[in-house]
Amino acid sequence: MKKYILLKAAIITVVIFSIGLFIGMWLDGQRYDEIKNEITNLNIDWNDARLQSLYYRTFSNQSDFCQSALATNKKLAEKIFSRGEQLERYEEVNRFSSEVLEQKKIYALLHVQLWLNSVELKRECNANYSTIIYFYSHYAKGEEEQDQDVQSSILIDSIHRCDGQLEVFPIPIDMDIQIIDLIIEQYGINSVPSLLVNEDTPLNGVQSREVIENLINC
Amino acid sequence: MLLGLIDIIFLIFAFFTLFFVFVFLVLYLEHRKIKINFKDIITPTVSIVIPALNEEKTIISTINAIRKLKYPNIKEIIVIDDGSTDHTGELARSMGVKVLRKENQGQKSYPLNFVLKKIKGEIMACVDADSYPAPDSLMRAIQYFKDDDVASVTTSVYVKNPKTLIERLQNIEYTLIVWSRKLLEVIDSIYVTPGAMSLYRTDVIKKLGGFDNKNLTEDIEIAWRLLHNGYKIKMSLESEVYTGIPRKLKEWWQQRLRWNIGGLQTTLNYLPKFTKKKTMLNFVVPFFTFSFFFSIIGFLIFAYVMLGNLYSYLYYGTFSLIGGTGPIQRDILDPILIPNIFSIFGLIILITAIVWIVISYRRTNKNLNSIVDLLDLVIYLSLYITLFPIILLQAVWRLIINKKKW
Repeated sequence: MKKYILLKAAIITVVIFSIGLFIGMWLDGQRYDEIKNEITNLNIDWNDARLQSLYYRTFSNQSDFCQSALATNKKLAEKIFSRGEQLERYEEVNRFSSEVLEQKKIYALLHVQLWLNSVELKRECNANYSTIIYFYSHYAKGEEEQDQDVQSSILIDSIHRCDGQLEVFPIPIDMDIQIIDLIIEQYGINSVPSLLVNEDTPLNGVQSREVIENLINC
Repeated sequence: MLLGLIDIIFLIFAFFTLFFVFVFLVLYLEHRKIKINFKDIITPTVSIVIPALNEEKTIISTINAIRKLKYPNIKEIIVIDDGSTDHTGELARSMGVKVLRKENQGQKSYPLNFVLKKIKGEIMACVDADSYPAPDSLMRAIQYFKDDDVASVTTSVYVKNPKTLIERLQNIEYTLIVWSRKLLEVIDSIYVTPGAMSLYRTDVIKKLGGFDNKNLTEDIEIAWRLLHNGYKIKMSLESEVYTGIPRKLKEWWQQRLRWNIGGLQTTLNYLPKFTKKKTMLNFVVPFFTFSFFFSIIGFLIFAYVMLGNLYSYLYYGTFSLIGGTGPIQRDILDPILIPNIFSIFGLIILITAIVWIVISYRRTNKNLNSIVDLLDLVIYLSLYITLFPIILLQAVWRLIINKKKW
């Protein structure tokens, strides 16, 4: 009798547990599909923005080009940044999808492209906004992760206070992306969190809002 | 983030938690109608023994309740005054019952063994001095002794007049225990004969050498000893006994600590015996061992996550103040707002727990009627049961440092 009861309970447990695992994996898969679609849409938006710039450069005058390009760039930067928060949250809860990492790499490359575009526009259009690359580790744990969270929060705070005059590009240093390796080598970035302010001032460690705002046009 | 060590431990914990719950649900589904045949009534002689230590507030009520038992063959009612410093003995004598006085030696097993040598009834009914059996409880419980293999019968113990929160929470707990114990009867695995009211064949207890004076919970130990020696223990669901309980948190904590120390002592004592000989304990020992183990694991996971979050909040809070930023927020609701494998299993465990509670209440004819009852249930499932592993850890510590005297 005991063995029969235990066997039956074990079978039910295995079935319910398997259903739970399946639902968990399905939810992870759904989230991954959502992330993938978002990244694809962002890529489309990015290509669209680049083509607009090319169009204006080819067929319009400088002032029309700058006005339009700066507006498009700013809008795209905000969109990419906000999607990033969702990406982080989904990545945190997913447990079965290693493919999320690939999407994160694509997302990181989007940020790099956006940064390069922002710098180009700043020079070409004499714009007075500031650009900061925020270098972080994707695999950070413990105190390093907490420092990164703190720095993120400070930067978000600064973005809101500077009302459109500050663009921040979070870039992971340890996802094996060659262009990022090139940047960190050029600027001597060797720890996280680190900041690169306006392409000429590298800062290592957590920086307070005062330090950041002294270096930018806010 | 892929599955880490803590995640895997949680999944294993969830698996075994579900397994234990489903064991009980299967027992319930397999044996929905468990009734005993009350035809051909038996009425062996019964000696009712009431060990008492400083119970002057309740002893008269207990004796009155025993006097109202509808049973024709009560041989004797004996109060063992276990060295009371109040008027327990005098009050009991004034009620006309036999009172034996002895010096207190610390544990309840001593007065029980003391009186065991002197009683004449075929059945020894042990009743706590703050327990109040229903009038038909003894008659109903005795019928389970029709089976000659049955050496002990336990009763349904409920809380008398629960008023405060801690009393109501214990009331929920006792109700769940009653039904769980009844189902364990089906696989001859009743692991305790509660002191509130339990019946024993006198000759069997004498043959086994009486109650264990070294164990803090003689009611658990004697149950395991009976099972180990091939005897059966039954549970008379129909026999209701209302008992006094700790009414303050500190007293409650001390009681539970004693139960856990006794439970651990008994488990450690029978673990080697269980592996050497096939006995009725072959469910009880692994069940208890796994329960202890998984309680601790579950609590450690919970503590790890909670303390981690607390540390993060303190860390971020400090930086918010120093850095002059707005409060740094963490999305602690994400496991609920963004369902994942952990919230799925958390939900499954919660649903099965609620189903189990509903079944237990229905089968014991108790009700959850009001908003207060439902709120009590929420507190029971969220806060009350999280105290159990803490007490268990303290019990483990006490055993390790050998501080188990009471």
